[in-house]
Amino acid sequence: MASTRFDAHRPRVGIVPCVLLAVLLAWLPLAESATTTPAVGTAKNAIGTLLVIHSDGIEERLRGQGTLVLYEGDVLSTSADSRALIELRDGTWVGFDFATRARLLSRWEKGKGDTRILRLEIGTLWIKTGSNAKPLEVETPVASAAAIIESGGKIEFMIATLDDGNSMLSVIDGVVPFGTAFGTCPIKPSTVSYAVQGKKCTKAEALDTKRAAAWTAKLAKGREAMAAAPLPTFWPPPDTSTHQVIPRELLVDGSAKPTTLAALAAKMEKALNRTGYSSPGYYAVPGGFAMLTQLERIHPDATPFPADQRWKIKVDPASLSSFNLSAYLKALLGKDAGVFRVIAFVFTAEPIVSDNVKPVMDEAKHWVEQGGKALPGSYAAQPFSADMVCTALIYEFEIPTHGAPGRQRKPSEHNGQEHLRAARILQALGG
Amino acid sequence: MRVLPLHLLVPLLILAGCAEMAQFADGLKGQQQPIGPRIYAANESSNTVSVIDAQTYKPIATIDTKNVSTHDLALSRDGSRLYATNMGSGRLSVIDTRGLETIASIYTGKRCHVVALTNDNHYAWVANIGDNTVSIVDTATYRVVGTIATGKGPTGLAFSRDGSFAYVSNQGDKAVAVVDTASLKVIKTIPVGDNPHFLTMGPDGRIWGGNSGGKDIYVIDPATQTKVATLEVGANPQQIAFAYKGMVGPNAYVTLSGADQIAVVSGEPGTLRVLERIPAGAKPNGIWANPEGTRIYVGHEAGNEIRVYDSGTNALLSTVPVGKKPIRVLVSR
Repeated sequence: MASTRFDAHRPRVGIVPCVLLAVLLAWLPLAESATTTPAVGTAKNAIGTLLVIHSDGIEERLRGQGTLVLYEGDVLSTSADSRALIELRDGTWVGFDFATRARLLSRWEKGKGDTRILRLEIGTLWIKTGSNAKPLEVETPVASAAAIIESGGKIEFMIATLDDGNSMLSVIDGVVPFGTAFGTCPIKPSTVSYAVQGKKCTKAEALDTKRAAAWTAKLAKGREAMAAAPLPTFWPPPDTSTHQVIPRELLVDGSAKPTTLAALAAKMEKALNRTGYSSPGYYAVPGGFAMLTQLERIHPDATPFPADQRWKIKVDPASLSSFNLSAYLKALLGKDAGVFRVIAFVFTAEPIVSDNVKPVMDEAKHWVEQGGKALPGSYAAQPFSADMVCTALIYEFEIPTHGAPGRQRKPSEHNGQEHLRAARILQALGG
Repeated sequence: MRVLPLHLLVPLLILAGCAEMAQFADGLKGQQQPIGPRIYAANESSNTVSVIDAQTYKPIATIDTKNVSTHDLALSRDGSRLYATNMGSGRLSVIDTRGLETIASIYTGKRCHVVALTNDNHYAWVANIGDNTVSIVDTATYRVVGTIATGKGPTGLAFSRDGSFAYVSNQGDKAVAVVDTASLKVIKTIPVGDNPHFLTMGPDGRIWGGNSGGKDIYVIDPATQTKVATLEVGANPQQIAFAYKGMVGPNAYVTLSGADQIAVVSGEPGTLRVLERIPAGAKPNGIWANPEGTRIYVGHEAGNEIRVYDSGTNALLSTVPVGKKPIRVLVSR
């Protein structure tokens, strides 16, 4: 955004080329970043579905836990049976109650920068800021509530539009200025105030606001569980080439005793070992875990190469995370043509919705080493509950000619079951 | 009465004088020089506001509104803040007229169209044609503190003289909605005609508007909340200003963008008539008069210029180039 242009100011002709060059040089590195759209935050969890309509009309949906990136102008809504949780870039959490719709906006002011604004059209929002949060405001049709963070303080409140068109603010932590077109009043913790069209906000009344915000606990619980997970997350998974649900009877022994996740992981590891795979990489997914196999070279019929060729795969030198001369020189020799595969076994009750991001082969090569080496104890005793499903996500790649970049094969020429049979994993599981 | 000896009195007087001088200097520091009269033009296709010296007609600055499709303007009573709507962005730009820069950008609603300040200047009302609403923006905090559903396609805004009512023209309804500013509720809808657009409070306190899709203007009386007059003036009447022709007036000067004319309308409601027609440039739209009512400033959206006329003689005094598609013209006191 250009600043004010004063017509009277004219640079001297002699210095114009130098100035232009300097400006151009200074601008060049910024040009690329200036074209990117900064994310406002991320939708993290939805019990049911969170619908996000971007400003160009494109829709995205989040079901369960995940990372749906949000941008300025997005309209977020939950249906009558859905709730959702988003995290703004500054760490502020925003909960969407049932049947809530709000738009992500901002206001810019010189010297203050951007103030994040949520325009609540209908429903209830819960806001919880961190101690370093930036200013945030929620607008309703009749009022505005502001979260202005004092040094080290935190703000937590709920704001709702009511059926009669008025708005209600319940403050849980901090002091929240609540403004209408007739004035602003500071609302203190454990009180509630109403904004009525054509009036100043009502006198704050005592209320157990923490209890009123109890619905957010389940949303936050999922978030905290993910955050506390000792494994890196594999969620939402990248776009798959194909997939296959593993029949439950191949995973559980049929006894009355529930199968634990530890037993499940052991059974799957055993099956993988029997079919030539090394130890998998473990990742966290909502309410469960994922096991990822090493990138392997496969034949066109999806069967693996013999062991001496199966695991020898060159990668792009740029993808090497830490400099190692030997690996670097090997990588420089170029990548061999062929077809490759990674299988991710995902154990979760959440519906799997890909993030529509294509996996990169050179990254897939490192998935196992970047994952956990074993299933942590915190998972071990958890049961493989009746609503949990094991889904094998197949990531197939190809390098069409020697030295060419690897790319995903989508769709695969084989379905998920064919891949699992060709890898002899189903057979190893008893199928 | 005892008098201080001279050798003590003189230094004391000097010290007192110095203190007074320092106080005076401090006062000067806090008190800024007034800004002379200026012409401001909202350039819709340039996304800028042109600032012109209203006495010399020389350009002072071109201000980037930091938004898209700058359409309407409203100036605070003290002249320090200029508010500009930006249709493409749905945002209101706040401009510091002393620093000549945009200092805030506030999202109000889709295709925000026109802006009017409440009589106390505490709030800016912004009509959002794409949302069928008016947003109320607190001019101290820049927060949107209320939203009123006023009708389909709000495109004009004016307040009554006492501030009790706001008038919102709605193109989609072909009507003007009357909003009670105490309850923020629409209390009446007055049918007016095709594509009603800008509204202006006349010197008599009545609300004047043009049906930009037709040929007529109308007058609403806040005392009765009824349309008390209409008059056919010519193709596509846009905006209205009031000025004098010598002893006669105040007359209503109406830009006719479909006729490239300015119609001069005289008379009381019921006896309105077109006194004369002033030839204008290509597509005249914005119009404003100086407080004395002797000059009219006309923005030409196709000509990208402002023409300044002497209302006494209709003589063209100056033609000032501005940005592309100037829609609203406003002159500070």
